[in-house]
Amino acid sequence: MTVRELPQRTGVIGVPPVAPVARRRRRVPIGIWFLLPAVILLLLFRVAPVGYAFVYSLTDWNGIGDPQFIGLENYARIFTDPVALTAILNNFWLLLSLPLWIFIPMLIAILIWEGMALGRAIRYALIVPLLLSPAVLGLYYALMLQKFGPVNEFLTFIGLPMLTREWLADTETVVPVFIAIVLWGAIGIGTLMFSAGMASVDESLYDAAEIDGAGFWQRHFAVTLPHLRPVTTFWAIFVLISFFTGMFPLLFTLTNGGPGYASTTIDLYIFQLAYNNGDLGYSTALGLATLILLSGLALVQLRLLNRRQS
Amino acid sequence: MKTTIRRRAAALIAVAVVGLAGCASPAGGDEGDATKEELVVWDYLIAAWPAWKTAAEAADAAFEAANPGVTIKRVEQPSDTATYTQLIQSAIRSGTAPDVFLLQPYKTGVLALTDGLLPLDGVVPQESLDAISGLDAATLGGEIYGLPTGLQTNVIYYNKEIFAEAGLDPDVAPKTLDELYEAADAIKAAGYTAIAGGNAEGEINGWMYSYLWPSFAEPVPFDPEAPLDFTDATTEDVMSTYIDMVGRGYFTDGMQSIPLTDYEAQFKDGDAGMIISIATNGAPLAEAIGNDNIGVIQSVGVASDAPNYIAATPALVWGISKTTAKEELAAAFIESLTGGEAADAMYVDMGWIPTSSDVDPTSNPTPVVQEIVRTIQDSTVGPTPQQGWPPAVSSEFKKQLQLVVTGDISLADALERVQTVADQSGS
Repeated sequence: MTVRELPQRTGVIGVPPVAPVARRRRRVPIGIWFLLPAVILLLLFRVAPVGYAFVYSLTDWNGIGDPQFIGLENYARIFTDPVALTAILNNFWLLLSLPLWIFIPMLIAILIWEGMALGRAIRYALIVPLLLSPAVLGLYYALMLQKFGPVNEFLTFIGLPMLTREWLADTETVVPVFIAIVLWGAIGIGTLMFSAGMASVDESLYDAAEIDGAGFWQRHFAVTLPHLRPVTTFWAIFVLISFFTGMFPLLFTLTNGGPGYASTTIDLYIFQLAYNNGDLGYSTALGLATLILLSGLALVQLRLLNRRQS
Repeated sequence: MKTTIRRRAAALIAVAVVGLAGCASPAGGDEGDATKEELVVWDYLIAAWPAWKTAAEAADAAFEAANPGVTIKRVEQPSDTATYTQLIQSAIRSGTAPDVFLLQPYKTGVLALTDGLLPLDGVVPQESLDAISGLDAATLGGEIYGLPTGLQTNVIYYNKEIFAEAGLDPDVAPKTLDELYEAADAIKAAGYTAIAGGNAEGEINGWMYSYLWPSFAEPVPFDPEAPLDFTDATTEDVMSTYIDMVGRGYFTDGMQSIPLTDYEAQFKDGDAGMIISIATNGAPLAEAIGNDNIGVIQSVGVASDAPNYIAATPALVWGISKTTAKEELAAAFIESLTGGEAADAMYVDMGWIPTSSDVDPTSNPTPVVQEIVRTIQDSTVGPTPQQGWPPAVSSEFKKQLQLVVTGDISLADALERVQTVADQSGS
């Protein structure tokens, strides 16, 4: 049998001729074999559970016995459940604080980059909260913020006794205090991210801006902010997701969602429904509804941020 | 070409080795000793309560001695209810449940987990069941799902020295609600906290409900199917009294932000004249402030100088997993824990209030514990409606009352909200 020969490229030295069709094999990249175990694990432990969750969300189930199919009742219940609506509202209060989560760590990163005094020490100090478990942080602040705890004692000491209160047992202060605590715990990682982003900025741009007469704010508005957009986008999405999925460990030990449900967030409520109340069907439905809501919010956020970038 | 093939082969072998290593069975395990039977017991108190651990070890040793070849393996579990429930659910669904569970009684405990528990009819002899009191705490639909151990009741302990300092007779406990108010006012005037409390989790709301209910209501047998009513006059009276006591400043200032695990220090350190607590706390509190310095105020009377009854119900329940392969052994074990020598030893050594009315109160060395047992033995004893609350209702009650205490909602609105949850839960 003769091999059909394909025309060789002409005038291109060193380029090997195209292999004859009969001997050309489809190459499966070796990387796929290395990725396969991880993909299988991802499907098993991330994707498949979502499918299972959807099935259980259509049932009345206590987590032990056999689930009883009830259709979309659990989803309909969300709209009439005052606690679920309160929890979602609390999550949206967190959402309103998103600008603080972006601009405070960014500003600290800029100041450190500019060589502020004790910049390195501050950077290391900001890492300390990251080393602590959120549950431990919750226990710590629950003690600190008691009526006769150190915070109120300090306020009294400096002549501000009128400001003392039960910070975590007052429905008016518990949410702002909780937001402040969780922000304090996360500033470090945000600062690290923005610091890493600033390390890639071409310093000659700042020199050029200085030559043109740009001051501190102008330099960073014109040079730093545009360069930090990718980091900002990533950090904003990360924070958004953590608002809806990462508040539970801290809240569980800090307030357990109280007083009443004043500091209950959706992830804490999902946990309480499942393991306090034994209502896993509804808990699962709420979890999936949160997933849908979060996906929508993340999409909107990405589009807004990317539109500004373009 | 050959190099490429070798590289691919090496990569595939590497992946296979890593995968097989992950599937290797763990080392250890006593597979050679087939004659020993091991009973796995989940216990959430052995880590939190040293006295319980000591009693548990003694009971296990006694059972092992009486049953050669049997080993009891107590597995420490978290005492947080939600976490423990999560572990139980996962274990039962995955088929890795232990043989025996320690559980809370009634609807917030054993009766919420019956799908995973073995009915005891048939594995525990009927004559043994007939001799055990408090089985209603673990009975649903005519089936018994656990054996109760100990009795629990809410009481107010008081510091006799502080009573004396406040001008009160330290040897005469208040018997009526009015006398309790007078004592609280006197203690406050003497510069102490009247009643120590820690209500960050809302537990004190439930404890005061149990403490005050017998003052206003007659005992009613526990019925797990009975509908719950939070709009009745008795509930209104009970909780109004509690809110009134809070409003008068009888409880710890800042109680709403003090966790239950931290509030006893006020009483132990001599900063509070009284403390709302549970009967099984009598021995440790007596040890802290002195056996001769502590008194107890059981439920008080309203219309008379005695309550209508004493609200004392089973403290805990031992249940058997539905998936156990050692039904009879597990049944024999929980039987040994809930009666006879083990129960007597727990009363003597740690003040665990016995369910049996035959126990000699003086066999425990702590006078305040003896007094609690004597009162229970001499009184009509029964549950409160709280025992019929499923977990969702119990949780809602505590949370809504927190908001009433902080002044954010009215008692009527709170009870209405709890009623809504009760109706939705089918109770």
